Amino acid sequence: MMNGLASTSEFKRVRWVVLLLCLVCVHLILLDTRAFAQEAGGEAATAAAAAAPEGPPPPLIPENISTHGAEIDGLFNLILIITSITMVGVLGLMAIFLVKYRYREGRKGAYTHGSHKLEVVWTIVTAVILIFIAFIQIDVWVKIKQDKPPEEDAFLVRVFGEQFGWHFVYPGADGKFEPNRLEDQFAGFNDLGLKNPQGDVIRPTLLIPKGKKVLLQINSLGKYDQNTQKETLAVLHSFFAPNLRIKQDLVPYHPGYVWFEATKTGTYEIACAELCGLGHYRMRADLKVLSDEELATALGYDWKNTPATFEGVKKTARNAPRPAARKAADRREGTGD
Amino acid sequence: MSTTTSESATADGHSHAHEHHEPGLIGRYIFSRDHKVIGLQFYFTSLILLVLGGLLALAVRWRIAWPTEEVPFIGEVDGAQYAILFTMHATVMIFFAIIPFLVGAFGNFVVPLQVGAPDMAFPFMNGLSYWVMPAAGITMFLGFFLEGGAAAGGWTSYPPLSTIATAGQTCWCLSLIIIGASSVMGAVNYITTIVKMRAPGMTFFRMPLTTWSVFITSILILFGTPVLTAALILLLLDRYVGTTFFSHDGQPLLWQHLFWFYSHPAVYIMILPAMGMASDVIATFARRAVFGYRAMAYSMAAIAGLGFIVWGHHMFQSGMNPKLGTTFMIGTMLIALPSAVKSFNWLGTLWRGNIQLTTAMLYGVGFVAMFVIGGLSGIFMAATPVDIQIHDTYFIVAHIHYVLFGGSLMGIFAGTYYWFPKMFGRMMNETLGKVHFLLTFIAFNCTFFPMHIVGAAGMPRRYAAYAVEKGVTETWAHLQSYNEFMTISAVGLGLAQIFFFLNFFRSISKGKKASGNPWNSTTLEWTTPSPPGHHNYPVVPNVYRGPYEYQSPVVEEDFLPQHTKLEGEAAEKEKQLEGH
Repeated sequence: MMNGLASTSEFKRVRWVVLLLCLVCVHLILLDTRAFAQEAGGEAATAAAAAAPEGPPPPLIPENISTHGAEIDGLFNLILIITSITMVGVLGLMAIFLVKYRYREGRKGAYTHGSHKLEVVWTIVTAVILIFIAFIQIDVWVKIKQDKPPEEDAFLVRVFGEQFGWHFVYPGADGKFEPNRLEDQFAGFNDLGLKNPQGDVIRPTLLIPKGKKVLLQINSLGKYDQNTQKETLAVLHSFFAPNLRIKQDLVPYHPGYVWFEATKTGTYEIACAELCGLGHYRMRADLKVLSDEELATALGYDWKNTPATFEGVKKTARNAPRPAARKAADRREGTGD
Repeated sequence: MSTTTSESATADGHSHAHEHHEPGLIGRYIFSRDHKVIGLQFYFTSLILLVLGGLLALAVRWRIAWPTEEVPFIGEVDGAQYAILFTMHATVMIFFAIIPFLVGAFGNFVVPLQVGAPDMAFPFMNGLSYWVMPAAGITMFLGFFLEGGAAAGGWTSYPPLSTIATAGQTCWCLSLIIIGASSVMGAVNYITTIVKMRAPGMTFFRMPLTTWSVFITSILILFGTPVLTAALILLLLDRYVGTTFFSHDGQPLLWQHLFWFYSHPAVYIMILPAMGMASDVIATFARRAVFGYRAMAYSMAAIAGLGFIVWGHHMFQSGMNPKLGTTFMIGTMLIALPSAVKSFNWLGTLWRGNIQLTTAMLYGVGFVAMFVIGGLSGIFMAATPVDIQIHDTYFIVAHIHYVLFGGSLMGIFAGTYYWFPKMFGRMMNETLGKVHFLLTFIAFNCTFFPMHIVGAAGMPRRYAAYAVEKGVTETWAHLQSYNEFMTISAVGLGLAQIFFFLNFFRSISKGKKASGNPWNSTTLEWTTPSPPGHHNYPVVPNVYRGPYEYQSPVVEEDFLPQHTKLEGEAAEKEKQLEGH
């Protein structure tokens, strides 16, 4: 028994190396915790100093400001409770077994190959729990991603993501969005290729009203240079508003729709959550939830009494000339910063 | 233990000398057709690439923790280089370390020995499947020397980003096509060997679970890999011929469907063999039959089967029809069931055993513990509404590392400490091994557990910085201390591996000599001398019973090997036991 274990004499010869490496590791771990404590302390201090007039440092989990966010957080917490109990139970039992049934010379272990009854019981119990977890998700998912509000009930915005930034387009006083085409893009004054750029209101920030349903049409924007006829393909992005508990990918030439309702005014984050190139981590915008009046001032038209529609911009055809096999030089340009 | 085994082992060279030519030095060690040599070739190649992948990971972590400072040995890292680093880290780890380790190295070395076969069914194809791996690796690393550097589209390489990427992406595609061929050749070989070359008496339900896992994994590879290869060829056509499968007004989601149709089963390719190995290790050192052996095999088959209908759970937020999301969620919840059953069975195996905490056992148990955490965190992502918030955040990174590092890699370590005596005929040092385990275990959890927390806070993955730099979001700036903590722990995790390398390479030449069956195991590979001679078995063994007969009341010792023939009273007693 245990003849697999190495003799101590063999260990002797390398013990100094072992000791040294152990010390290095312990030292690192200590440094680790110290640096962590210092950082946390320092961070809190600076945050407190900077944000002294505004209040406490930001919470760990971003504050929920949407009507559906509480349900997502509730489901998260429920799964957290169920999985934590399971984890503690399984790992606890494991630890108990490892101690209780540790090797004893001459002890006979049990001779069994399993227990049919026990296996059936734990399979069924687990299955019931898993199916329960699955079924309580469905309604929330359907509400967020399937049941979109009709256009006439919602505040409409078209969102364009490109490498590496965001554009937000509002319908303007006529309530209609301008169709956009690659062919109509001109850098500087018509970045989006809108048929009539003056017909819409374009902002670098997503401005939305508080307490009203918002329906976004999300588009990934390709780039086309009229003069050189050079095209940069649109890539995937993801519209991620952590405070709204919303995430949805932007798929080129396949406009997507996202809806939510914000419950609190303020400035929040919009991030890109799908790798879109070397500037992915810098692709961000502000989300501003405003009161009705503030929003009217910011947009410059009476949005409340202007019925809007996505009619006419529901499909985004790719209407630049289809390129033949492109050269390597073009492709490099495509990932340019 | 049968004395005949050791006797005939020494006669090995003579009894077979007239049947085949002994290959020369090159034939024996380089272009070998011997599954044991090929297994070790896979092992050493994967080990080198594991180190490389680890160093890439440290560079990634360094950049995140201290975005304004230079990364040691690399220098300043900009957004493009950062993308190359994490893309290559994942690609190297998945395709060039974990899969070849589990399937190539352990599959090759262990499976023929466990089923009682003299070699793999197609020895030449086996050698070929190894030799295309370095070719694939070289193709991949060529990318570093091309303009624009290696692939930078993430290991998922979603088009259209990968369509417009630099030439490194082409190397990536070609390399994966080549290594896919290696996988398929290996899979055909394993399936044929297991179906056709089992020793007499070795029925399917007498096979050890490692063999079962490699068998099921091979089926996954055979069905999944061609789909990835097809997708890669379409991507190359998009890049060079001007087709629009995924780009222009084509369907970017088509790539995601094809990619995950392979890559989700690939996740199981990377965990099933580790499950099998952990089962063998745990049974051996708990001195106990695997609890619910058949349920273990069926669970693996269920995981493999369900594995093909859950790929859409990677695409809940991708723009795929949300109704499909619900379907894929239910499938994904179901796949948690066989995983849970396996975990309970491992617990059952420990229960009322006589547990020897060798290094191999520590890693076996560590595997189960980390797999449990990784499996449970998967439930969060499977839940479609919860996934809205944590999709593409560090929560996912935490999950995959608990499964692939805590799971697969700990399984690989368990297998290494367990089969090392069989591979090299010497023992590894247990003290060094235990130090290695302890440090790895602590540093691993310090590195990856906090990722759950920052992930729940919504911190997106694949960001080169979360603060400090101009134009970068401040939303997650308050979590920077977590990032630094994780990076320092990751460096500690890397340093802890020094103990492994010290132990491994020292033991190859200086370790204590190992007997044929140093752990008193029951399965067939331990009936051969350590290391086994050419064509493994001097005499093909007969198999009389299941693989895990520990504590059998019919014999004095606490183990009864599969090949031991009982006679007289003992045989009667065993027959009675089987009747129950």
